[in-house]
Amino acid sequence: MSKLIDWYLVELRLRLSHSLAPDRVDEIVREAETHLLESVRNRQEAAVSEEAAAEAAILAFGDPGKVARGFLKGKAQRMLGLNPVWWALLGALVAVCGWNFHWLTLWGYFDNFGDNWQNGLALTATALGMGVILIAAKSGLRSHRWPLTLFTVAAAGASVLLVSYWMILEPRDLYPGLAYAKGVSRLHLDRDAPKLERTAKRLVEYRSFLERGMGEYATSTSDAALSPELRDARLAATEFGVERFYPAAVGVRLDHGGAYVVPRDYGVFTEIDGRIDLLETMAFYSDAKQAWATTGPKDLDQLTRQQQSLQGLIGNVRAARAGRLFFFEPLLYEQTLYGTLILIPGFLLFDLIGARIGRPARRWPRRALA
Amino acid sequence: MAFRGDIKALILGTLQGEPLHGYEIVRRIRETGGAGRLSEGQIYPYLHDLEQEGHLTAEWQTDTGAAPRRVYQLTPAGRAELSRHRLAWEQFVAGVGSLLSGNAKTAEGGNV
Repeated sequence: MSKLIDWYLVELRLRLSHSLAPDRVDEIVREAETHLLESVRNRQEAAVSEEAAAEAAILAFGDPGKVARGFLKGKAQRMLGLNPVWWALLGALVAVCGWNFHWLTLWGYFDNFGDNWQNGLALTATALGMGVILIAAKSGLRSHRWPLTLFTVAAAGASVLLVSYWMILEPRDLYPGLAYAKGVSRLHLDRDAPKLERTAKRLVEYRSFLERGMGEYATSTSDAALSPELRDARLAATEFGVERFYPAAVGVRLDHGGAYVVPRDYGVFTEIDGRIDLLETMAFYSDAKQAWATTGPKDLDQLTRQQQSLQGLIGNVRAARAGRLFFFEPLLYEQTLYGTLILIPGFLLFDLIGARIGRPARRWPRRALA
Repeated sequence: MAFRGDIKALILGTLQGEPLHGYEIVRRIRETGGAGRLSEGQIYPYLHDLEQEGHLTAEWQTDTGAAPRRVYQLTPAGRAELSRHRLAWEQFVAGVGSLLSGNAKTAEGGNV
């Protein structure tokens, strides 16, 4: 038998063997072999060489993929009762959600900065989604690259609407170039709106403290002239309802110790839930005086912008409660838009690996036929 | 002219006279031009469908001295199916024929 016929039958068998019972595959391949041999024989009678006859017979019999598809029509692979393409899309959806939740959380769009179990769970979900894509391709014996790509592009577009509806951000014009923004979830409006109002009030208190400190330190020559809460950090902390003032988490002077309250060298930091980082401590009056003179005006400026920003956010929250549906903010939706699109290569890689694993390794024709 | 007909009807029609093996069935159908652009191999799935639907039976013929061949034969259900196809075809031909020969009814009064 011609080697060409051998190869053709192997190709046909490979395309059928994962979808049909072995007996049925044997029968189809055997019948194709009979047909091809008869076709070759008839062509050879017309004084054509065996190889040329085999080539013509194969051409007439048709592409093995198309022939196999005829036998597989209506016999699509199933994965837990569903066409694997649906599992692939479900995996993509889970991965897209997990991935975006992870990054949005890390960027601070929720109540925390992603340093909790929910963030880990989101990343785990992303990995699981990718795994499902791989398994779906393996089970379906085929790549789902086009459905996956189209779905992910559509999901990226939909995410713009979703996050613009979901998240209500502070106005961005106060912080041009800053890579993150404070915002509240539409789902938590009732919970977070009062928090914002409380935080706004506390910022006023902090501002008053800052102005008082700057004034007293500017005119004092020793700590005796200072108010007690400027000299005793415990008193000031009690006034603001916190246990103590933490030093800047980043920087060379990590912990100054001492009891003199000074403006925070690392700047002002306010969170939706009411946490405000503005003050820290120093051990010596001279250092504290220097800090108030240099850092005080800087922090006051930051505080002013934070107050304006918070008022803007409160205004947006009021608008949302009054019925405004979307708050389109490129800083936010660009993250989910690009964050989703960037998943496509990963999806395609997992899909490709799954499809590769699913396809059987090629065997030598004679062994396969045997 | 390449005109792709109802492959299953063509297969049933090919087998009405005698049992045939796949190669011969395919050859006869392709001679009619009814397979259209279908390749020889693409006709086999239709043969298997008809077998699974009970319109054909098939068995390997090994006692002819030649290479084994899978021979197909019409079942009574297949004959009934062929009759149904034939009737539909005759009605189609009659309808088209009457139109082409100019015997079709025209709208009364000529106002359409």
